[in-house]
Amino acid sequence: MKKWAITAVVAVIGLMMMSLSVIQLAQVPEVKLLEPLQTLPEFELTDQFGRPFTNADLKGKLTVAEFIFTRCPSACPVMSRRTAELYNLYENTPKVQFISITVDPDYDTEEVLQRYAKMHGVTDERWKFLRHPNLQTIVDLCEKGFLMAAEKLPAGHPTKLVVLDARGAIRAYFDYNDVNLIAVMKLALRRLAEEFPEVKTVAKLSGEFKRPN
Amino acid sequence: MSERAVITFQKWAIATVFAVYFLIFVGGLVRVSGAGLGCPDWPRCYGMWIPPTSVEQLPPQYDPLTFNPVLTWVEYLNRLVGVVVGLFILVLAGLAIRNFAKQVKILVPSIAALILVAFQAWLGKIVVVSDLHPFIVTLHLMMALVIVSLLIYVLMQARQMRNPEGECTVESKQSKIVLGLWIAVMLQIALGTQVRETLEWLSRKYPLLNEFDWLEQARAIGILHSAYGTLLAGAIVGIGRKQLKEHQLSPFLSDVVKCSIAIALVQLVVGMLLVKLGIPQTMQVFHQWMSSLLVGFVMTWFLGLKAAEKKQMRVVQLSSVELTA
Repeated sequence: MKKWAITAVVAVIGLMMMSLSVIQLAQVPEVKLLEPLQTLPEFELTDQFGRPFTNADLKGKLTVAEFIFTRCPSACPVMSRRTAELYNLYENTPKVQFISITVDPDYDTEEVLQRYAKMHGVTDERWKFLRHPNLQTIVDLCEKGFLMAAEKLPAGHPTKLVVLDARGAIRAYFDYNDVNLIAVMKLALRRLAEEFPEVKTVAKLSGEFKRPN
Repeated sequence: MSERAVITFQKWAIATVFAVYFLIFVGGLVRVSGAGLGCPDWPRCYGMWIPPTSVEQLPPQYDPLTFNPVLTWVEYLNRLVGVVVGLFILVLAGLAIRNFAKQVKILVPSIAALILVAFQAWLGKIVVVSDLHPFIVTLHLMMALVIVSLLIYVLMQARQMRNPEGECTVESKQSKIVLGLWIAVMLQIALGTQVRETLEWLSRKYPLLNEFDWLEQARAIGILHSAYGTLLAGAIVGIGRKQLKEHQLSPFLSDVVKCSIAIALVQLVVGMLLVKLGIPQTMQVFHQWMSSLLVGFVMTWFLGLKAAEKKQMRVVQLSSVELTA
C-alpha cells in the first residue's frame, strides 16, 4: 500500500480512538439496579388534594420517591429542584411519577403542599405531595419500607431519591447532590423501562410525533 | 511570481485543509458527546479564558451540578482549534494577497474563506446562545463544508499553476457530472443532519425510550436518508469506475476517485451498522467525519477533471489553429 494511504488510515484510527475515549470519559458512571427484593409494605397516604395514594398507585409505573418538608432550609430545596428538573424532563412520559412524602405533617397541610407543588411548577398528576397525619406512620414507612433511617424528624429525614419499579420494589437509591444525578436517573429509568416495557407504551402511543422546530 | 512562492502557498493550503478537517472532527465530537453547552457562555467559558477543570474552580454564579469538566474541555477544544484554523486561513489570505493579487481564482476564494471563517466563529457563538438550535447547528456544519470546499478550490488552483499539463485526457461534461455528485453529497449530509436532529429531539422528548425506539419513531426520515445514500453511493461507484476505465486519469486524480469510491462504500456500510447497532456514538462521529471527507474528495475530483477539460480545449484549439495555418 502507498505510504500516504497507511498514514491516512492510522490518522483516522487515532482520531476515532480519541473520540471513543472522550465519549467514554464524558459518560456517566455505570448504573447498577438493585435486585427487586424489597417491595414497599401496605401504606395509605393522601396527596395534596386529600385523595388517597396507596401501593396500588405504584403499580404499572416507575416511581421516584423522596422525603421532604416544606420548611426545610437545606437539602429539600435542592432535592425538589432536581425533582422538578426530572419532572419536566419526563413531561411526555405519564408512566414515570414522582412522590414527595412530607416528614412534617403538622405544618405541611394540604394547602401548604398545594402551594409547594405550584411553586415547583407541578401542573399534572405525575408529581404528588403525600402526607399522613400520624408522623409515626411515615417513620415506619421510611424505615421499614424504604429502609432508610428517619431520626429526629423533620430535620433528620433521609436525602436519597429512591427509584421504585412497576411492581413497587426498590431498585435504586441516588444522592440528591450527585453531580450526575439527572444522567444516572435517566439511565436507571431507561433500564427499568426495558424490564417493564408497559411503562413506555403510552409515550409511544401518544403519537404526537412532531418535527423539531 | 516565483515557483517557490507557489510551492509555499500550496503547502500552506494543504496544512490549512488538514487543520479544517481536524476542526470538523472535533466539532462532530462536540455534537455527539453532547458537549455543545459544555461552556454556557461565549467566547469565554464559565467566564474564564482557561476553563475550570474541577468544581472547586467554578465561579460561584454557576450551578456546580451542571458542570462536567470533560464536556467543558471538549467544547473549549473546538473553540481553540477554531482560533488556530482562523489564523491558518488568515495567513493563507495574506499570502494570496501578497503573491497572487492578479490570480483572481486564488485571491477571491482565499479572501472569501477568511470572511466565512469569521462568520463561522460568530455562528459558533449563536449555536451556544441559541441553546443548540437545530437549524443553527446544521448551518454551522454546512458552513464548515463550504469553507473546506473553498480551500480545496484554492489548493487545486495553485496545483494547476505548477502542473499545467493537467490531470488526464477527458471529454468535457464529465466534470459537470461530478459537480452534480458534490451537490448530491451536500444534500445527503443535510438529510443526515435532519436524522440526527430528529433523534436528538426524540431523546429529549422521550428519555425513557431507547435508541431503537427513537430510530423506529424517526423511520420516515431514516428511510429517506438510507435510500438516497444507497443511490448516491451507487452513483459515485458507477461514475468513478467508468471514468477510471474510460479515461486516462493522472495518478493523483485516479487516487482521488478511488478514495471517493472507498469512502462512499464505507459510509454505506457504517450507515447500515448505525441502525443495526443502535447508533453508537463513536460511530456517529466517524460517519459524520467521513461524509465531510467525501465532500472534499468529490470537490477535488471535480476540480481535477475541470482543469483537465480546460487543458484539452486548449489543445483542441491549438491543433485547429495549426490546421488552419
